[in-house]
Amino acid sequence: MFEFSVACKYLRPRRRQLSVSVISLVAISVIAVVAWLVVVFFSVSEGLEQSWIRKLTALTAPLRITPTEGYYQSYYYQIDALSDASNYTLQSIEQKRLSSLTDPYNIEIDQEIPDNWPSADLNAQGKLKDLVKLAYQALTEVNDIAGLQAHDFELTPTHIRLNMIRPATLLHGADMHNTRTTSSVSYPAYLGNFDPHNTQIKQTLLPVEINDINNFFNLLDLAPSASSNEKTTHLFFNQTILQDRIKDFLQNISITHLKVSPAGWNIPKNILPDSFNWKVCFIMKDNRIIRVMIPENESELNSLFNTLETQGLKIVRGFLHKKENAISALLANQPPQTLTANTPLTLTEGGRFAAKFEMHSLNKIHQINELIFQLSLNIQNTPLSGKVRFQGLQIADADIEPSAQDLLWLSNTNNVNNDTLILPQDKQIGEGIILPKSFRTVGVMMGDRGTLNYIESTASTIQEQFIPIYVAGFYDPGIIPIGSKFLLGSPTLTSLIRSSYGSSINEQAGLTNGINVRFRDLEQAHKLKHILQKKFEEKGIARYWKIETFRDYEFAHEIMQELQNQKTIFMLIALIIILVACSNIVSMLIILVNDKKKEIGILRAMGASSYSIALIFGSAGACIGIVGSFLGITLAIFTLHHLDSFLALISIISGQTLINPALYYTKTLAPTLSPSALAFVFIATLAISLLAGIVPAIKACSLRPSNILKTGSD
Amino acid sequence: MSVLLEAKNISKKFYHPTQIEILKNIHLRIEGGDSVAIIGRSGEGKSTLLQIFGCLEEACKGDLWIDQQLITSKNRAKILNQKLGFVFQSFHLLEDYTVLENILMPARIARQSAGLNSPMTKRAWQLLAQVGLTTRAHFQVRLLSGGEKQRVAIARAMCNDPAIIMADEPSGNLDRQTGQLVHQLLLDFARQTEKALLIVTHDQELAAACSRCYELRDGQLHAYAQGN
Repeated sequence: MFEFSVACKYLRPRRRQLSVSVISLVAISVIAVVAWLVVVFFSVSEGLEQSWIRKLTALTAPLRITPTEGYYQSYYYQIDALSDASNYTLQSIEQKRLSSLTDPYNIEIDQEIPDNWPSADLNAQGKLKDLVKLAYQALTEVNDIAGLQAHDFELTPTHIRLNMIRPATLLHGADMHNTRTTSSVSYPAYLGNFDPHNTQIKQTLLPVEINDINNFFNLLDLAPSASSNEKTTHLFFNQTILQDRIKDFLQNISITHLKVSPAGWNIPKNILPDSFNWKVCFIMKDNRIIRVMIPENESELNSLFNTLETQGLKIVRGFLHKKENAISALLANQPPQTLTANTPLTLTEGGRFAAKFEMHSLNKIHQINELIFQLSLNIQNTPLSGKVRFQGLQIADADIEPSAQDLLWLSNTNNVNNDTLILPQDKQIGEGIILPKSFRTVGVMMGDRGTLNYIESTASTIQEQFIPIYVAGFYDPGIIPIGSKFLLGSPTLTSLIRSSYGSSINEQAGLTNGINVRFRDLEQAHKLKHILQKKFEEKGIARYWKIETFRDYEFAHEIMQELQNQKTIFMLIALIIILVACSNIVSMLIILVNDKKKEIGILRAMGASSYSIALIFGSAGACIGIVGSFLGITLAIFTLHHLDSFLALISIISGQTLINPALYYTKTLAPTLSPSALAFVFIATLAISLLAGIVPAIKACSLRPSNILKTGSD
Repeated sequence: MSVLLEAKNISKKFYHPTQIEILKNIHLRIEGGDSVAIIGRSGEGKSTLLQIFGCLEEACKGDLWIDQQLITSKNRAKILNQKLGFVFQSFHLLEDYTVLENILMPARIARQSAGLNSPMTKRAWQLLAQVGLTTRAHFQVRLLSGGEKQRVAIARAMCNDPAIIMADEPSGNLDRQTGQLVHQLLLDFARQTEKALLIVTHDQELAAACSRCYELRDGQLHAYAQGN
């Protein structure tokens, strides 16, 4: 196009039109920066929102049907309390769904219905409407939503107590490897039922860590104690059970490497080589060597020395020497001292070494630390190998059988194609439950045992009940406000605890029982809500049920809204900055029009219409807008690909963590290039730069060619 | 003979700083093959008249037909592009473009292809040969001499094969010899192509070479007899 090519010619930087070039450059860079900011910000926040929604819908469901007040006040719900067929107890949604009787009341055997009892909601045939079955029926009638599944959910308050039993890390305790320490945490919490059909939940599960495997292994020999207070004594499994447990464990997990525990590892005398000369630190007491600390590499000696010294110990550096079966210590300015046979030689924490489990050691063990491994390692270039007990050591690496993972824990690393997920169970310990990741930050590991407590009141007593459980996994609850207290357990467990509350639980909130509806495409949530609403109205049960999509959830609404507000405010700011940038375009174009006055006259004399002239300057403005936004978008795509390093760079420059992903309920920011941001940048810059071009364009086409050309000289 | 320009009752007033009627009821008719010179003292309004005839300026009153089309504000730009070619005293070339690009500009304004092998480019090369500037085709125009610039301007004026070329003191800024070369090119245009030439000039010799000559005096055109 002629106008466009003229515009490009005008924009090409030239020395003769320096001011125009400089202003264009400024305008382009400002627009590029804004475009960059907008695209990066929106992509990050959209990625954030999507990850929130993914977690939210994975843990709850994209659509929920919950009973209203009307349901709990209905004859249908209340009548179970009067009926023998229902054991005189109120029934949950699942129980109602499975029950063969819509109206369990039997006038022959049950007590008389009181006067103020709610009246029954009857259908056209004069029978009581089965509110739950009708709701499920409505769900089965929906046929144009892919992958639709509906399952009930239950939620109950409970109390969790966990005992964290760890190998002692007291370095200088008298018997440092035979003690275990116990600490416990105890929280009020909510227990939700773990839905085996909800494979989506895998997205939120945290991977198992080597610490978790160690914890499982270290706890294999401990039996659950009868009392809830395990601080004082530990009960051990009898030998046969212990052997079975270890066999089960090792069938699934084969230990390949071990490492020294943080407390250090006393090198058994049997694997010490015939001769060596190691640089070591001697711990002294009353001028006697009470322990020798050996770093794995010579180079670590000084840092070891410093660490020990800060603990207030008297430390001397020197050599540990062995020749002809005599171990002697060489300290500076002192004659060699022969060490007593029982002075411990402790290897400090360092690298990992190859290890192989000795199967025959299973036969006579009572505790886990009696297991024997064949070990080969290298201390300061002296190779050592031999059979050692699992004492002061930890698992550093293990091969995990993928098929057997579900036996101990639930993790997202296993086969994704499984249609159902089974919460693991330990027949000696108890049921596995899944904890939110906040528990991990207080030191809980997978394998830790504890109890869920609830109060059961019978006619005569109020009794506290304990259900033994163990930690079978961690999940990331995302933005759910009660997420840090929200445990997932088997449906039977939830039902059991929930039923202990009787009817009072329903009065708290409708959220404790309901139906989760899952389907493939989240975008269809709104459509499905409308379909269901209509069907419920047709069936006359609309007033008993509340249908909500994930966007309506009260607990998520606020934070989503906040993100949306941030986006809106940012968009407004971006718009203002673009406006400012475009004011540069206006001044640039006005200067350009003045510069090119004569050319405008010439073009007009050659028959260029005023529209063409306006278009030349309009497209010059638009050109700057497009180039600027294109540059910005390219830069933004590059930034998004390298977001982590970019944030790290900013953090280094500003000296503080710029964006802490943990604050945003996610581990990593996973931005997705936001189409709406791209559209916004393109449309906004194009529209505003075109608008900016209007005034100069009008000025240009209102110039009279006769006036310009009349001035004779060149 | 076809009538290429017909002006009836053309009047022009200027209101600033004082009201003055510079052109009064001017009639003119130019046919194919005509070359018309308009002479007159400075300030009589010769250039204004030329610009009115050339559709660059609107008359206050009167009608103008170019190639039998009445000029209105709607068709003004198109007529200017298709039917008229302008040659100015101070050349008025586009400084950022090459010689060839300048010549092709009217064609590009008319949205005709100006590609390497397009008919318009071939025509531009012919015009360049006609004005004797083939070797300068890819020069930036600011590097040319005055005479060369004016020859480029003439080639440009002829680009869209106009009905009339309007020239305003075409040799005013040139030496005598170059001026004569320019005059010859313009007069040849009218003679050889049955098109018309309208020249505003002080140059008596050029006026004499034209087929008709008028003097603009007191806002009106008077036939100007040679030797007066």
